[in-house]
Amino acid sequence: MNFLAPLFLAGLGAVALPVWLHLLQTQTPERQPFSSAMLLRMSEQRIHLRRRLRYLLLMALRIALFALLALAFSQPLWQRSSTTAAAGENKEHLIVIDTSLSMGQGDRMARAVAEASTVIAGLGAGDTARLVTAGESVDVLATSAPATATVPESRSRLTTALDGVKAGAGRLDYGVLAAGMSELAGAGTEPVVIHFISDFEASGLPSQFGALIPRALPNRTQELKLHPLNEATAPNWAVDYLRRTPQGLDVGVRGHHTAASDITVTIGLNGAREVKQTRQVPANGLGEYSFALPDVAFATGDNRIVASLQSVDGLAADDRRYLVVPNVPAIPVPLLTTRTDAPLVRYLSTAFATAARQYRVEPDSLATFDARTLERSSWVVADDLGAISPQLATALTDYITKGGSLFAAVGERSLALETLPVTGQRVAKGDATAREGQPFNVGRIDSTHPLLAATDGWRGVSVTRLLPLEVAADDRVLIAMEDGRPLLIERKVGEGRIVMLATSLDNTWNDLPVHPVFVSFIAETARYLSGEQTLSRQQVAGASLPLSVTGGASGQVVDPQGQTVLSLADTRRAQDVRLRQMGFYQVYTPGKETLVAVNADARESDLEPMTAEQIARWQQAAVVAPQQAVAAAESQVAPPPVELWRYLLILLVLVVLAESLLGNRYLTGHLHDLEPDAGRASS
Amino acid sequence: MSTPLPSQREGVRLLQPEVLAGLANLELIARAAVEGSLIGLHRSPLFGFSQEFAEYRSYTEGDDPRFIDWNVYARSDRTYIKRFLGETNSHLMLLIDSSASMGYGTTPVTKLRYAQILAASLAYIASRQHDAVGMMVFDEEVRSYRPPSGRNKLHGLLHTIDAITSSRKTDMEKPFSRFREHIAKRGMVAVISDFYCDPKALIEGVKPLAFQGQDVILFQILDPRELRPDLSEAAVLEDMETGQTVEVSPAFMQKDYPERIKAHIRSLQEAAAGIGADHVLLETTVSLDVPLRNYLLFRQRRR
Repeated sequence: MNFLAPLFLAGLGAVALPVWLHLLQTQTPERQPFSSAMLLRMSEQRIHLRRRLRYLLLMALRIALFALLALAFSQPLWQRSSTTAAAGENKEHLIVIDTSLSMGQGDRMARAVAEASTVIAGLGAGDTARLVTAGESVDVLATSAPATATVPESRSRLTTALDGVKAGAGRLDYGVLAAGMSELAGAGTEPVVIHFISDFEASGLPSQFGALIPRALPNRTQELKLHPLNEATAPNWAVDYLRRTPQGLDVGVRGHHTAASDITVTIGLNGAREVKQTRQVPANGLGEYSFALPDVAFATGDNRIVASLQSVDGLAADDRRYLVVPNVPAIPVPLLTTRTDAPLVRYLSTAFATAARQYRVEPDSLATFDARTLERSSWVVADDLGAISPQLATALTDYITKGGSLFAAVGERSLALETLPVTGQRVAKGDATAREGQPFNVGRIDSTHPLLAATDGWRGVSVTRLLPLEVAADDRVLIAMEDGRPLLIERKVGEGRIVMLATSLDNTWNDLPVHPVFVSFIAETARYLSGEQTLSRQQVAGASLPLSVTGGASGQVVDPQGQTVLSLADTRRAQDVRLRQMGFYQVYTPGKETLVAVNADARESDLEPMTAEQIARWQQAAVVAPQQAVAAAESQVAPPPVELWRYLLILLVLVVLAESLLGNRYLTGHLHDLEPDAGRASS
Repeated sequence: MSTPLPSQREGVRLLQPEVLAGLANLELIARAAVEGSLIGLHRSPLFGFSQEFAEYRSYTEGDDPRFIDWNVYARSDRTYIKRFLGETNSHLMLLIDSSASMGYGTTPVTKLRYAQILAASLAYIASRQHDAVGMMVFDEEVRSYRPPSGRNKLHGLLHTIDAITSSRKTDMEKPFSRFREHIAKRGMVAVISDFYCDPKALIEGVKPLAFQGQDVILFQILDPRELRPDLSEAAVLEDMETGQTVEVSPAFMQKDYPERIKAHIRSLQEAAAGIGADHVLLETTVSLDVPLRNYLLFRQRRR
C-alpha cells in the first residue's frame, strides 16, 4: 500500500485526544466502605458493565473517526500486483549463511547450520534452492534442482555442502550482501526467497538503511527472510592494532563489552623470539602496550611479527594480529645539485624518511657527478636544470630515453636561459617574480594523475618566483597557477619521463617544503618515477591482492597454511587473489619474496547484535517487487491502483453516525444516573 | 397531647444513643438507659415474684393492693404491704453479632456500639428483674460465651460486652448450633444483629430454639444510611466483610436499593412471625427506650 500524501499520517496522533478524554472521565470513583454488598450485586454490576462497554465502544468509534480522517487525507493506494506470486507457485530459495569472523564465536555456526537444515527441510516440492556463504566473499556452495525422482539426491547436495560451512576471517557488510543478492538471483521469473541466517552484528549495518534492500529485478519478486540467531552481546577482547614505531612495536588490545581485566600480550618475532607484557585493559576500553625492540632485533628482509593475547573469550580468531616489518637497506636516489649541503638535501631526506623509507637521498655535485652511474638508479633528482652542463644533459636525455626518470626543478641558473637543458622546454617571456605581497597561487590541479591523486593541500602553497615555461603538445600540465602558467609538468621522453617543477624545490622561491603536502608529494613522486607498483604489506581478510603485483603469470602466492593459492591455469586467467585467511601470505615474484600480513577487520570483534527493532524494520522492508519498468510494461494487463480514500470517507460517515447515536444514548443514560430526584421519588 | 415534664425530657435526651455513647462506662450507660426508660411506668419492676419474705412497708399510692397484708391490717388497722426477696425465675440470653458489617456507621454511634448499649441495658434490666443473664458473641464463629448467671455476675458481663469489636464475616448457622448445645432451660433469647443474611437461613437457625421453648426476639440494627442511602455521584462500595467492591450509581442507591432493603426486612419479619419470634427494627439514631420498652412488653407477654 502506498500513500500519495503520507505527511497526513501524522494526524494519527490525534487519536490520543479521545483516549485522553476517556482517561479523564473514567477516573476510578473513591472507594467507600459499606456494611454489605449482599443487596448491591448482580443487576447493578450488569448495568455498569453494560455502560462501560458502551463507553468503550464510543471511545473506539472516536479513535476510528480520527484515524480514518488521517488515513483518508493521506490518500492511500492499493496496488494489486499481477506479478505477485500465486499460492503454490514454485520459488527459488537462496539460503545465505553468514560466515564472517564473528560467526566463529561460541556455537553460532553450528546453530546457523541447524537453521539452514530446517529451511532446506521446509522447501516446497517444486522449489529450487542454492546454498550460499557470505563472509569475505559471496560463494555458492551447492544448488538443488526442483522436485523430480531424484529430489532426495538433489537436496542431499545442499545438506552435504552444509557440513563444510565454517566461519571465515572476513567481514560482512549487510549492504554489500544485499547488493550481491540481487546479482546472485539474476535471471528467471519465479519469485526469489532469500533466507539470511546470521548473528546480525550491528557493525555490519551500512551507513544508509536503504542499502539493505536488495535491488529490484526484472520480472522477479524478491523476499528476504531473516533468520537471526538471537545472540546476546558477548564480551570479546581483540588485538586492535600492531604497528612498528621507531622504538619498537605498539600493540592495542580492545575490550568490547568487557570488564576491566589483566591481559597478557605476547609478541613473536619470526617465530622465535617471544616477549610478554601484562597490562590492565579498562572495561570496554583500549589497553596499549609498548615493546622496545631496537632495529638490530629485526632480521634483514621481511620480518614476521605476531601479537597474540590469552584467549579468554569465545572468539579466538581476533586474538592474534600479524605485521610484516621490512628491514632492507634504502635505495639511493641521486640528487644532482650545485650544493650538496643545501637545505633541499635536508628537506628531501626528511620526506623520504617519513613516507618513503625505501629511498634515501644521495647528493651529488654536478661538477663531480659521473654520468655513467646513472644506470644504477631508476630515477634521479635535479634541483636546477639550468645548472646542468651540456655533456650531462646529453647523458641524462639518453638515460631517460632508455627508461630512466627525472624529477627536476629550476633555480637561479635557469632564469637566464631561453631553453632548458634535457627537457628542451622554452622559457616564455614574462616576469618570473611575483609582485610584493601577491604570490602566485595554485589554480588548477589534475587530481586524476597518480602523482596528485593522494595528495592534498596544494592550494595553500604560495610561489613567489615561477619560471614561465611554454607547454609543448605532448606535455601534461599537472598543476597550473591562477594565471594559467604551469607549475608541474610531466613529459614523456622515449621510454622514460620527466616531472618538471617550474619553481625551486627548496623554499627559496616558494613555501612548498614547509607544507605537509611536500612529504606526500615526494613519496608519490618516488613511487611514480621508480615504476614500482607497491604492494601493501598489511591487508584485511577478504581483500583482493592484484596479481599484477606478483608479476602476473610468473608469480605465485602461498597462503598462511603453506598451500599455493593459484593453480597453473589461474596464473593465466585470474586477475587477483582473495586473501581469505589470517596470517602471512608469501608473494613470490621473479627473484623476490614478499610477505603480506592479513588481519581480521577490527569491526568484526564488536559482537553487539542489531536491535530487534532494526531486524524487524529490515524484515518488513525486504519484499522487493519487480522493477518499475517491468511493472509499467505489464500495466496494460495489470489493474490500476485502487484509491482507498473514497471508501475511507464512506466509512468515516458511518462512524460519525454511529458515534452520534451511541454518544446520545450514553449521555442520556449518564444524565439519568445523575438525577437524584428520580430515585427519591420512587423510594 | 401534654408537654413532657422537664425531667421526662431530660430522660429522653439521656436515652439518645449519641448521648449514651458519650459515657465511658457501659454500666453507667446501661443504668442511665434503664432508669430513663422506666420513668413513668406505674408498676415497679424492682421486685420479683418469689415467696421468700423480705420486709413490711407502709402502703403507698401506686402499690399493688394485692400485696397488702390483710392480717396485719386486721390486727393494727394499718395497711402494710409484704415485700419478698426477688429470685431468678427466668433467664435472658443475649446473642450479639460482632461481624465486620456491625462496625458500619454514619452517625457517632456505629451499629455495634448501639448493639453494645442495647445489650448492656437489657442485661441490666434483666438483672434488676432477677433474671439470669448470659451472652454469646458471634460472627462466623462463637467468639465468647457466658452462661446465664445471677446479678452478681453483671459487672463481668458488661465488661465482656464492652470489649466486643467487629471483625469478620457473619454466619448464623454455626453460632446458633453451638448455642442450642449449651442452653436447655427455657428462657428468652435476644438476637442483636444487622441480619445481612438469607432470612431463610436465619430462621432455620432460630426455629429449633423456638421449638425448644425459647422466646426469641430479633433486634435488627441498621444505620440510617443503610435504609436511606444518600449518594450524589457514582461510587465504589466495598463490602466490609468480604472486601468485594461494587460500583453503584446514585440512581440505583436512591431508587432500587431502598426497595431491596425494605423487602429484605419484610421477609425477615415474616420469617420471624412464622416461628413466633418478635422482630424489632432499630436505627442507630432511635432512642434506647423504644427497644427497652419493647423488651419489657415482650417479657410481660411471655410470662
